[in-house]
Amino acid sequence: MTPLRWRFLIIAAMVVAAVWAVYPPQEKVHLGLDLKGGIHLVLQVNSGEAVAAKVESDVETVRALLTDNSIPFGDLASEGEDRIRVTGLDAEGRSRLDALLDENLPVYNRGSAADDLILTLDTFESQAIRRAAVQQSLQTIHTRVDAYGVAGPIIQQQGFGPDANRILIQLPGVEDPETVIDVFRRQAFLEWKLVVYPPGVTDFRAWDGFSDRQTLIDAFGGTLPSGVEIYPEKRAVGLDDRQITVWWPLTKASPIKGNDLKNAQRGQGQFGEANIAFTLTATAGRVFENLTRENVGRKMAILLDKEVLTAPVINSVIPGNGVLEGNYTVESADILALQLKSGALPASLDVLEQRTVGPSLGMDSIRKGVYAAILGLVMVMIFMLVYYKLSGINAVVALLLNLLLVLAIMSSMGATLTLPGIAGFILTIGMAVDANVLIFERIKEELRNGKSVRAAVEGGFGKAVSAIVDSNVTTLIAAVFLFQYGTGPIRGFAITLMVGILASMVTALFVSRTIFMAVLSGRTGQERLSI
Amino acid sequence: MEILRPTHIDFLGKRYILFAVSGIALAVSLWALGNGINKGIDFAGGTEIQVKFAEAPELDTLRRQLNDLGMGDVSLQSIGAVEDHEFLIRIGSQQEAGVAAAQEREEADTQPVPPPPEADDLDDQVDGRAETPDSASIPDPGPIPGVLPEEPVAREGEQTRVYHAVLEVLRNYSGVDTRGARTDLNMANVHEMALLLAAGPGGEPQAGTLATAIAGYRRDHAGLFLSFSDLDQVEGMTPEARTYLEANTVLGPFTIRRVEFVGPQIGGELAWKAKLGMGLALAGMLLYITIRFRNLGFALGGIIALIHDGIIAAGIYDLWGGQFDLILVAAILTLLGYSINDTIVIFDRVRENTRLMRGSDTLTIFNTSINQTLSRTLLTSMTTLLVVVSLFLFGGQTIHGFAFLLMLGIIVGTYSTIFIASPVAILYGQWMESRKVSTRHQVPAIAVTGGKRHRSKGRPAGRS
Repeated sequence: MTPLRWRFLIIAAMVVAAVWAVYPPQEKVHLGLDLKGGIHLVLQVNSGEAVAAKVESDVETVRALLTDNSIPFGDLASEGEDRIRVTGLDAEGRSRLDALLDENLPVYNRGSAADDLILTLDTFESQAIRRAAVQQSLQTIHTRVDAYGVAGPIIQQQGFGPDANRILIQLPGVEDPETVIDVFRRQAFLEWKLVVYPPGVTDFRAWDGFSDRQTLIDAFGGTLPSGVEIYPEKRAVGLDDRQITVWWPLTKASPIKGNDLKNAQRGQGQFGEANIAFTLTATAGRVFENLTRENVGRKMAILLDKEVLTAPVINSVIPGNGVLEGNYTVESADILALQLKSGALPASLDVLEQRTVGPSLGMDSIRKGVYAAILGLVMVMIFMLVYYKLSGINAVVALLLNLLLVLAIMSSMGATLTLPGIAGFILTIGMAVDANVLIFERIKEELRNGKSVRAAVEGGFGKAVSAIVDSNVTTLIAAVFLFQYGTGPIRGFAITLMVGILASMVTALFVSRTIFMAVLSGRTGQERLSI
Repeated sequence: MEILRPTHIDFLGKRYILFAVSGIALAVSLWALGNGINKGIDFAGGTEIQVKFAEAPELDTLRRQLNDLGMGDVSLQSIGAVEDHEFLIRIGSQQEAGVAAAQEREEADTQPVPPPPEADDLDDQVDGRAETPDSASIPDPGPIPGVLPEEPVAREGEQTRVYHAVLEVLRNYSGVDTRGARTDLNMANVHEMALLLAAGPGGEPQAGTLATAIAGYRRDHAGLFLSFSDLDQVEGMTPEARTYLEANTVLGPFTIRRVEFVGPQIGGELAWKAKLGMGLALAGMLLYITIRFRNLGFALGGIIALIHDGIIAAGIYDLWGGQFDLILVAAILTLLGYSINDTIVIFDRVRENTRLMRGSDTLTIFNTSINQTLSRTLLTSMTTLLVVVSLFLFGGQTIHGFAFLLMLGIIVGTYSTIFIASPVAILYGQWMESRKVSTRHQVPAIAVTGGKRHRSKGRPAGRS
């Protein structure tokens, strides 16, 4: 076979492969969220909370060590995120505690401030806790998104090193961001805490919190005792369901936590209202039993994400299961049960970025983008045909093939087409003919210099190559940085641009040239070239 | 067909006049940009809600009601065609304090010791007492009951709060029953519609399919049903279902098409990344041209022309009232990549002509090269302009600014290729020669060195 035949064979193979990669476009071309509609979310895991929670539980360990070994001390409390302060230790107590800590809590570095003992959680340990918190959040979000039933979600960790506490979530085709975000953003951290009654309260059963925070603090004499915290409860009162907030003084420590939950599911109350039935694990069930036994006649608060749901009186010993009641609909009860079952998030999540595009806007964008693309394409084709006459056909063929190649490469790479991507696609049309213009102008110049048609075509291609390569590489450099530092749709644009540049080099230098060779091959010593 | 016969224009003869023109344009642009740019939420943070009304709303009333939310700067502007009744509501970031704290933390991060203080806001609110700052001395941690946040913990994020507040205003404004006695067919999602239909005449079996069909029709018609008769065109719609829907739903007078929220932290990062990306792209191109042409003068000429293009295009865009967001950064980077093309084509020709026209002076070689490539420069700019104009006119709101900046950029870029890049390259060459002359006391004519310089292609740039 002649080289020309080989060239045509390669081009034919390229076209077949490209068509195969693109067809049918509805399935093969991946649309970005801005075209398909959906939610793009960046969440931050407040992983410091997980460290604080660990320190909080270790405070109780230290307390147990001190009391079990009858070491006298003043006060004991967590401080900041990663420290515990013990006051009022004498020298002997200090050395005994040191020995106990060596054995029981070796992950704390010990230091002193004034006469107090300061325990600081080791940096490696706290970083490990942070990392674990992010991993657990990822997993929990995965579970919840899967359970909720979103097709083709993307859930990724973002960021580097110790700051890798971000989670990117993309949910295509989801219309209703508020519900969905709530599903996986809610920490779903269930806790049980005992009510700490202010001095002077005698009727433990009837006491019902304070409607004002300051009054509560005043009731304790202006300062809360250590180990006590204030938590709000939102209540709907009256016939019009007016919202009020009640404040409760509760123990800082939570004897029972969401992690101790074995199962949770939607149930039905006596009036048919939705509630959530839960079962605790065996161990936690025993703790719960003991706790209720010791505190019969007092109130115990059930908290969800640091907010009091209810604070019922303990009437009798309760084994390890119960019911959460609240103002639940069937749907919200289902969601909460799902959240509780999938496990609590180890820390709260902040929304750093949220972009929601409705499906109708995406549809509009596609329509307008495609319209602008076709119009631009047609205008460029007409221009090339008018300006370069028959050689313009060559450029038009190259252009169409270029577009096909871009789509094919993007589909087979699995790259997504975004709205800026469509813009990049359109821009590619303008830039792709640039290579042809360069070559054609060069051929014209050679013809003017009196070269034969064949020599002029040879010379035109040969001399234009360096300019085409250099200019395309520089554009490629810009596109690479665009890709590196862009997000979402912008990356889509950068990819389209890069693919477009590469494809245009192939079509201009190989396909166009082949067409010229074919045109010139039949006739020897052709006098004229329509250009 | 030829627009341009071979030309012999002395492009470089008037270079000082054109330097002055460019200087003025640069000064005006820098002044405009320095006066503060209209940052989009990508960089400034905040919330953007795109809403489409069925009928033209009373803008002044709506604007007043939005401002009454007390959420700071609220802007309401029409986008797209007037008859689309489409508006963009923009609300600034609600976390000014948060920004300050984040910045403080960042500043502290740059100094390795002492460790940055970590304010744990959530704990503060829950504990009811301020956390002790984490400093080296560790002061006494007494609870401070005086500083208490009044409100219960705000568990919902800013984006939810702002979105619901705006939604409430829109509903109040339009008089739609917000208490949900009847479902708003223009706001309901597929799930809600399916639930509603399941209780209707068709019952459970068809509810899912019909709900999907209704949502599909709505998607294809700009997200709004204007009247119940539109429902007849939905595939699979039965008269019973339509009557049922008409009785049990309302057609709200607006729909939310897009909601974007960018937190202040992300905004700052995106802005930094954008600057870094542009800087690195410029550096990358500088390096590539230097290596490929073995001539720092060419690289400088190209890069100075690029900076010139970027600043003037962005300056005019700013004066036009355009908004700076991520897409615009993409436009500027594209412009940089595109604009350098022209310059490289000319430089490529200069490189070639230096070999062919040995004995001519640098100025002549450049002038000849520019003239020889002039038709190509103009033709390419024209074809690209054709598609960009098409994008500008018909591409839709999102890429309107993008297309406009590119339009400006292509025009400015074509100019700078001829009138900035080449003269700078020549000036650099002359300057290097004059330095050589003064240091080495040699007297090589520029004419000769011009040729020599490019013959020495194989040698590193620094020695040319």
